[in-house]
Amino acid sequence: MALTAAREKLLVTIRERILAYAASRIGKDSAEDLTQDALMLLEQKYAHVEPLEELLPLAFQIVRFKMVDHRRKSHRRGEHNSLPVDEMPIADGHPDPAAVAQRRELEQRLAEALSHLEGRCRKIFRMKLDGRSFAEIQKELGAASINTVYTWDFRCRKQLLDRLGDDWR
Amino acid sequence: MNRDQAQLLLGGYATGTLTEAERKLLFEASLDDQQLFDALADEEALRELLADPEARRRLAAVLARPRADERESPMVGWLAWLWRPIPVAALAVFAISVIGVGILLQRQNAEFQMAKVKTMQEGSPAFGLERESSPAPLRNESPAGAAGAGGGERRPAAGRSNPAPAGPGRQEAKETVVADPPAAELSASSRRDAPSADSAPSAAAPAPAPPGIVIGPESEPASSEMPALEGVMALSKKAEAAPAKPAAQPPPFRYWIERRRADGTWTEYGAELSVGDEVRLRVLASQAGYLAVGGTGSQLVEVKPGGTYYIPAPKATAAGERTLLLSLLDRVPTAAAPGASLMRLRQAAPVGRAARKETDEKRAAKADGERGGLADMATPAVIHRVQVRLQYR
Repeated sequence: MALTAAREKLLVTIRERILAYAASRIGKDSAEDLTQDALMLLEQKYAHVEPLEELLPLAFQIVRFKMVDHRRKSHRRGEHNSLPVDEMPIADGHPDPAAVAQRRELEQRLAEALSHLEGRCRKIFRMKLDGRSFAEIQKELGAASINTVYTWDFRCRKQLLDRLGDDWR
Repeated sequence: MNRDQAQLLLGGYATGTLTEAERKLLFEASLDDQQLFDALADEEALRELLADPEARRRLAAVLARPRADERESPMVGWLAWLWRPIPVAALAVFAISVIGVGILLQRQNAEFQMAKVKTMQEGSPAFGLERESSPAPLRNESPAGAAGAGGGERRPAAGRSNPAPAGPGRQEAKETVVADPPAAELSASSRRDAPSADSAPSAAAPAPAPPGIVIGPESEPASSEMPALEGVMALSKKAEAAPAKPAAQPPPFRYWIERRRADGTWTEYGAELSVGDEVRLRVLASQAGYLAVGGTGSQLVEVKPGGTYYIPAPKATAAGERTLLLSLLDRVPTAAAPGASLMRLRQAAPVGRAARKETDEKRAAKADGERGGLADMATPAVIHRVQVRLQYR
């Protein structure tokens, strides 16, 4: 499949970003493999996706799955309690229990952090969960400009991440 | 919004708040900024979680509830209210009031105890070692005991307006007071005057003072409270830092009030005093000095330790209260002749400059606590002083 010049240029940029991100999270050696796998997927399976607004979220999702998979594999490889292949449970098509547990844990931590938000941040996040846009939030809160709402939300997000801690990712 | 400000949109990515334009701007900025790219990649987990409507609903419910801080500790809100200026000021005023009232009560209690101690040291004739010789009412006195007691006590004092009838124990008229038998004998004499065990089961207990005679500000038994007195004295010292005598030290003299009965014998206390009764004070000295009697006139008696002295009280001509002031002086006043057993020092009122000078001396003596004729003398140091009030009806 022939790549368009714009898409090729975009993938090169995305590759650099993914590589740097993965290297900061799982180390440089594994990051190369992870980045290569992600790009192979983007190139082969999602070759029809060209717009940046679609391609980049797709890239984030693929990177996240690859990283989770990488952690799981490295854990399994290095562990003495690895199970024989014939005892491995067969996938039943349902969500991975580990992923479900991880997601449930993240939700609990997020709920705990949200419960400590106060005042304006509480209102903003509530409106965001209700599906309001920043323009609607601006109108609701009576802010002078939408940039003010962006700034408020940026600070609230920082408060929330501080509450979540560093290891929530 | 330019690309540099695109990071402000990060918060809207996971929740899906961004519009298409905002998303595009954020993604384009992330391709140029590795930090922004990393942040977006980290948000992916949150975005995936918040993409679930059920999870969003649960989280929205969390935000609808009160804050976790308030929910976990209801005291926080109350303490926050308490820390406001008005409640703090009210609490401070209340605390200061409580402390002030406490200090006031403690001071009043210390003053009361101090007065109590002074009263016990000065006024009570039943104070100290002579407890068993406390006076008894006349109605309980046996005639035999009274006759026995009269032998040693019917000694009239010179200068008395109503001399006692002649008796076996009467001395010369010049001699004002005569040293009595020692204290032990006096105690025995007093015991003879006390009621028998049959008539008064509690003979050893102090008899109440008759209503006609008031001894000091308060008359109450003291010997049983001696251990407590020492503690009270210590408390009083702390409270007022005033020098106080040790509680165990007996007073320089003790006194009893006696009344002449119809048969001529003398009895301690007697019944209620009536106008016309003959009354005298029996004084037992334990320290040498000069006993001054003030009030209606001036008398001066040289006393020696262990001696008993009789001092007649002025005869009352009308109902009411009479006051006698007994003062033990350390030396003879200059105006008094040494060796004078009893003398009246009040002179005829001088005139002119001498009168003014005497007035000044009187004022000085009055300020020093002296009364009556003592003001006419040079003011010696007062060792001990007792005020005796006699109530006549």
